[in-house]
Amino acid sequence: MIVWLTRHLQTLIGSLGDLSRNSFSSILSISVIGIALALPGAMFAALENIHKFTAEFEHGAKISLFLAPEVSIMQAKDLQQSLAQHGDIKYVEIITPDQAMEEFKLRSGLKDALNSLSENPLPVVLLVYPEDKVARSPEKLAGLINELGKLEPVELSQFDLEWIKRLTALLELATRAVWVIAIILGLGVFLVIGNTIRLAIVNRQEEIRIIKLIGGTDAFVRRSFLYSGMLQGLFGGLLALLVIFLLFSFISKPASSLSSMYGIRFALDPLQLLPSLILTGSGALLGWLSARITVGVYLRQFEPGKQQL
Amino acid sequence: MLIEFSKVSKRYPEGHEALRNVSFVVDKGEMVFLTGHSGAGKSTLLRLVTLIEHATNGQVVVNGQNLGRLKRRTIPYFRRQIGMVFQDHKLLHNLSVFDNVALPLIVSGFHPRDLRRRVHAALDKVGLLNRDRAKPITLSGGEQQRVGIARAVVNRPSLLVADEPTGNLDSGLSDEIFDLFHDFNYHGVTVLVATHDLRHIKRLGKRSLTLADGYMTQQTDTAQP
Ligand SMILES: Nc1ncnc2c1ncn2[C@@H]1O[C@H](COP(=O)(O)OP(=O)(O)OP(=O)(O)O)[C@@H](O)[C@H]1O
Ligand SMILES: [Mg+2]
Repeated sequence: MIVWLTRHLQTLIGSLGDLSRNSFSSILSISVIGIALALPGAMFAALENIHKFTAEFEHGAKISLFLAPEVSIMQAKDLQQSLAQHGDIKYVEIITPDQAMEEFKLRSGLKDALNSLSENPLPVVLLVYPEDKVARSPEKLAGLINELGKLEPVELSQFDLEWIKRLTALLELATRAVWVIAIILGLGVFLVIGNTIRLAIVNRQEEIRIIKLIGGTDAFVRRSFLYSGMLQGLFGGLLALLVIFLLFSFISKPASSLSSMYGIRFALDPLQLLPSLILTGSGALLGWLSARITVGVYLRQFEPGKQQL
Repeated sequence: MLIEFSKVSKRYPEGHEALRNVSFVVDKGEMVFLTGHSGAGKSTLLRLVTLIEHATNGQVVVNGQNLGRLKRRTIPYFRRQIGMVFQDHKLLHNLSVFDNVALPLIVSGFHPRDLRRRVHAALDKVGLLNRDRAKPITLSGGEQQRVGIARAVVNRPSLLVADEPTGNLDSGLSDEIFDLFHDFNYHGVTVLVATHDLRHIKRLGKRSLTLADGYMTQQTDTAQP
């Protein structure tokens, strides 16, 4: 076990040494890998943030019921009570004409003009907050709005539904597009690493032959290449994380001020711990796989017999 | 016996018949020279012993193993029983002398604790203990060949195979190399050396096998020094 461990450690350190010795080509390939991984990584992170952003909206999703002018506050309160029993509704808030007027005055800045009105023209409004599961499903939400609109005292039931629907569909599309991009770029990473490994094998063919002559197994020869592929992928993944982090810190300020305009407190998250691990892990895995396949293809060409003794 | 060839032929893919119907035996503990003109098939014969090539016909048995039946997977383990010395040394130039000699041990998963002692013993044997940190490129041809020999014996193989180990060396240096082989043989290692240099056969009083155009034309008994 100790022998096994030291052997692997030696190979790992050896591969690190190889990487630093061929520093220019390694830096080049690590950079390419880093950029190739950063792109889908950043896109996934962005999508994640948009999801979070819309979730904020859905969380505050509410249906405004404008009641007919003749409905009294007492009647509105009865309606509020009965609606609160509804299975799809979390709770109902009531806004009296006076409250609405106060807010309107504050917001519009037309205080004086409004003060001069003799009578409050605003109706009673019920704010209906649907259950989360309803808010998340455009169909159920539409059903609820429709149902509420048909109630006797309700004159208008309003919710900007199309907006959510379109955004959800758009996000779905974007997620798929990002997957396609991620797969294509992942393939690119695979090929880049495969190519550097191929070059390393060609550069070290004499060494490979000698190691086989003195009794080195294929597995022994393979090992250092697997490590160097894995390390390239790993460093590429770490570089990608750095790029994403820089990118997000660059746009986080404008993003949060934009969202505050919508009255939403929202902070842009760079990648969380798990996705970060997945990103670097998949970089390392890609590197390992690519090296494994490349070495499998090329190693047999360097049998000791295919040269003069 | 350690090596047994029975009616062995070797045809290269290009069609050249390098060995024809060759039969001979090398006993355990023997030292045997292999001679013959250039192109006679000496290197080919040694490549069959070390499984760098496979016989086209006939049977090669080394250390009790029929090489025709050996699985590809097990070839590395077979090679670890044999020390090989090459005319061009085949050292790794990015590694130090120490690491070059240690390579067979590293490759076979030797315990790191005893590695240093083993490598130093092998380097001591060839008189290069003080050069263990040098890069092979900074050594003379004779010294590089001695590093190659240290690498070949560090695993304590039962068989030592050398293909024109002194091809590029002057006679003084080649005497030194052959004396080393002689010494290993004295300590029980079976040695098979291909050489053009008939002088050593006489000098060391050993048996020789002669090849000509792929045929084994002569097998002498122990020469009288
Ligand atoms: N890999 C190969 N492919 C094809 N033919 C080969 C190969 N190796 C050797 N031969 C041929 O086989 C014959 C024997 O070659 P070999 O190298 O065994 O001779 P040798 O006795 O070692 O010669 P030298 O003393 O010059 O080293 C030669 O005619 C050579 O051209
Ligand atoms: Mg030869």
